[in-house]
Amino acid sequence: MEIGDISFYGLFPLIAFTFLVCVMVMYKSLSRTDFTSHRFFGAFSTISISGVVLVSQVIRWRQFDIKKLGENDLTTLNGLVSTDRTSAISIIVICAIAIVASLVAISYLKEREDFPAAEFYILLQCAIVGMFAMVMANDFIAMFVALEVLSIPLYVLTALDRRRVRSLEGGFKYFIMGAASSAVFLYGIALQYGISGTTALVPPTETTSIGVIATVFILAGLLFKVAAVPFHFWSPDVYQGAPTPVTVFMSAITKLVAFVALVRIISGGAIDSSESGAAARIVLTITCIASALFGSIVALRQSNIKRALAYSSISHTAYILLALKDGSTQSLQAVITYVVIYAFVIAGTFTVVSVLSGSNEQNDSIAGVSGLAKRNPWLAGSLTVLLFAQAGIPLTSGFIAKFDVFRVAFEEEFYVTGIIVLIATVIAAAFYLRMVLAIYSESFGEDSADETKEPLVVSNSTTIAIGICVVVTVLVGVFPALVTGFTHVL
Amino acid sequence: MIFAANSSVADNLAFPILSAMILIPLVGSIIVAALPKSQSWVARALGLVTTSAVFGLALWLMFSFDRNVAGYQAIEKHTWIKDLGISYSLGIDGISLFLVVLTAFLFPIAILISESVKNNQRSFVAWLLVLQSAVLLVFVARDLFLFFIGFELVLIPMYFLIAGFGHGNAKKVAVKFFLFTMGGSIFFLASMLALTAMHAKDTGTWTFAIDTLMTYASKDISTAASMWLFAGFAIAFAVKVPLFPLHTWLPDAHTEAPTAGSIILAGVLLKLGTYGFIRIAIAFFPYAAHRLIWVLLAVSVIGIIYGSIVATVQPDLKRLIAYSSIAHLGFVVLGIASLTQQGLSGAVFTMVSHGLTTGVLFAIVGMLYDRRHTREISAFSGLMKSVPVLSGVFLIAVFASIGLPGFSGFVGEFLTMLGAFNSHRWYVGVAATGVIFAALYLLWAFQRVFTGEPNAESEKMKDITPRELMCVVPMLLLSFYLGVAPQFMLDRINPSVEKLTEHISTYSGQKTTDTVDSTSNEVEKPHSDEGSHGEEGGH
Repeated sequence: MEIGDISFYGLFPLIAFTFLVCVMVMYKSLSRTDFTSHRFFGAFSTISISGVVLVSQVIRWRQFDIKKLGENDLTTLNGLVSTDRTSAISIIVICAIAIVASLVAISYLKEREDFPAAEFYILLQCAIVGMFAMVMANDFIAMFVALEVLSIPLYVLTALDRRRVRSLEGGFKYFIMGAASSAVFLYGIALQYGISGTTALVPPTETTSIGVIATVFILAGLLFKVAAVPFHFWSPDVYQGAPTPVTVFMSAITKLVAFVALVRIISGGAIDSSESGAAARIVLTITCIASALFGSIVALRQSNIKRALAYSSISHTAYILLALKDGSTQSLQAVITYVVIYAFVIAGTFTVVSVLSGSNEQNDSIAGVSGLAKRNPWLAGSLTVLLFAQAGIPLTSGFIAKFDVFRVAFEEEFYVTGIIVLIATVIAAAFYLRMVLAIYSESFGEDSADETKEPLVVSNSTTIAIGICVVVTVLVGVFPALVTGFTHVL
Repeated sequence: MIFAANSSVADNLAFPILSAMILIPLVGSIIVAALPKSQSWVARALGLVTTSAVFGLALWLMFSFDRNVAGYQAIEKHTWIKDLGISYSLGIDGISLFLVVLTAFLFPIAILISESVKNNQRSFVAWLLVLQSAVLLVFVARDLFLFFIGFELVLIPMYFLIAGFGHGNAKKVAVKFFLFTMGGSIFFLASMLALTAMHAKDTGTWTFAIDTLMTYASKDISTAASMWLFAGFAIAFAVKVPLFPLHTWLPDAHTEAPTAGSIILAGVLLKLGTYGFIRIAIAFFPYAAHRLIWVLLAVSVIGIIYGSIVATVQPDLKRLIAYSSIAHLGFVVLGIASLTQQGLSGAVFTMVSHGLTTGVLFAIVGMLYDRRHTREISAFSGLMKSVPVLSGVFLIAVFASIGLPGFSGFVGEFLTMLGAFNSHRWYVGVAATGVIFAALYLLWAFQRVFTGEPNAESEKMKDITPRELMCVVPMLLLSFYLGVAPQFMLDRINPSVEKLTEHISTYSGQKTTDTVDSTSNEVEKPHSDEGSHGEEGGH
């Protein structure tokens, strides 16, 4: 349905969640301070509206002949927003992870009476609006606005746990560094506008050396969000400090939306001219190699599980950057495949971490994982599967993601970078292996019968959340067409 | 006959025997893992039933195998990931047939011998069954992607078996094993992707089928690419075999693994590497193989001599046998590196023979460990007096392992050295001294452990139980049978090996060399093998 240049059907996700935010704010202000109803309403509304939007995007995919990347026919708002297949897939994944995060939050908030539940859901929904806008953005200004709309709620969400110093510290660091990187991003956009005379994602009309600076600034702004080295400094503190349901959501989705934005920029050709293209390739190569080696090596030295997972997710960024380097359609499809698969794997991992560390966030050391198999075998099995997926063991979705990335890299003959990143894979595998060993450390051997640890109980909602992530991981590992069937036709 | 005689017909059979052999252990492992904890003996019983079923299928496969067909049999093919050309494609030929049968034969023995695993029998059996599926997948895969999946998946159950059920420093050793082998697999992944990407660029379609890629890689890629890819694959397999100097994970892994783990590791997992050499490295890149073969020859001969010398000075009996594995597999790789029909047939034969003989050796060391909780040679003495039957069995195993004529080891080593002799005389000369070294360290170990006067603890040791006898006697009988009458095996191995050597000589880019290739074997082919059997059988 169109009114003028606005296709309401295409903008439905944005409209739905904006409406939901308004409803939620009104509900909070008009209701009594009854946290139970806040929690219930917040969870219910988020999950149900996410489900509705998810289904709408699935219908949209099947019914309409929506366009692929780079074909800009179905844009609305005068080309500001593009509702094509990429945005459909991204929105589906964002909704799925939002459902997972809400399920985790249900039990988390139940145990924390002091935690502002309504604000949590409101901010989450605001961030989701920004994320929808980011994956649909087809114009630099739209991208910047979306970036701010998604970032600022995340800054507040990180700091929402006011009882913990780490949370406040993480939020503060995120805010300061994020604001600085957004400023850099905006300046790059301004320079790009100066060169090409438009903020659309199109190749500039003439090439100048300022284009190199513009490209590097734009890339830097977005690479901050995906925590690539050397823009990664916020990531361990924020992952550690944020309340775990926030980490579940943020770790999975900020990477997704930032990489989708990068994919749009590259496929639109905005950084395609010879000098800025070369500069972009250099930047991406350096960050790729640095992230791969840095992330995997430093993860081995961590004692806090959330920080360690943050560093290992830096190494995951490296694999995606390897595919991003070449701008061909196949490699961009590999990027989308990886972020989609990775979202479920990392969301699942942090969900299990949330169960382990508890809602008072007391036990988040890696040693807390040891003996998990005796306390809760299903949880231990899920975490093992998810860690193997992160390591890239075959028959998990993580292997399919890595396979696609390396396939594309070797097709474009990035042999040297590819080999370096492959070596980093082995180093990263050492970290995951150590954790798996710790999980089963007290189950085997001659001393297994003596220890009795208290069993770990997982609430129903969290079980569903973990179940979703693990089932997706294993299913996609055995039937990759479930994901590649969609992402290879973007 | 249940198999298609025409190997190029990729249709589905009346009974998908290969898929069944892969799926039955997987299903079995899920059932075993879901058993209640109290009845753990049920886990072992179920494991035994499952692995025996797979063995039954393997026997059926072996006896229905058409010995006149050089190509694949029992083919199954289903498209899996269409746009990448990956298919679930299985098949068996002369080279992989007996490796599959060996695998199916060793796993029931491994379960039967694991009486001493008291805790967590369920997970032990479950991981063994998963391991069997993964190993069988590698041997019957006709698609490189499937091969790689099996290759990697082997690591996980083995890791849990060593870390969870091993002795001593098992956890660290398991991590080292996993990372070392995974590092090798990375080279496989890189080479596989580079090759398929090249193919996709040249022909426009992606495929991972081994047959297609073999023809493409042999003809249509540049010599430089051929050398790099061969090196990449060779490194991956060299870690698995293991070849010096990438062998350092093996002694630790063997020593700290539980007995069943060691038997499977030595008997089956090491063969993944040598099988990979035959199926992929030399088949895909004949030109590079010819040019770089001196590396393989040198490394294999070094492995033979080095493994033997280091084995001689080991104080730990299990570590001694581990190093002897390195030496034996040096012979296998020597046979592979000869690129001749006799050498390759000998290599396949030695693979099977090594699995049997070293399996018995590890089994007996496991029995000694069960009784005395030590593997130190100095802790035992005069066992012939206190456990005579055990000593007798070990003595026969020692003879088989040394390569005494009459046992399978001799046939295998003889064929490999014969195959390599014409073109690589000096290598074979040095390797032959390795045979003597093998006798040295094994007989000396036997002397120290079994002869002489028994010390106090050795007096009290119990002799071999019927269950343990049931584990080792079949292996020894088989080794003896194969040593005296190897035609059954060689008849089925030779056609496929011949096809391979023809392929290699066609594409090796060299016309007249001093390497004996299959064309000159043609002349004497119908009787050459019988003739050599006559020599061995007739003494």
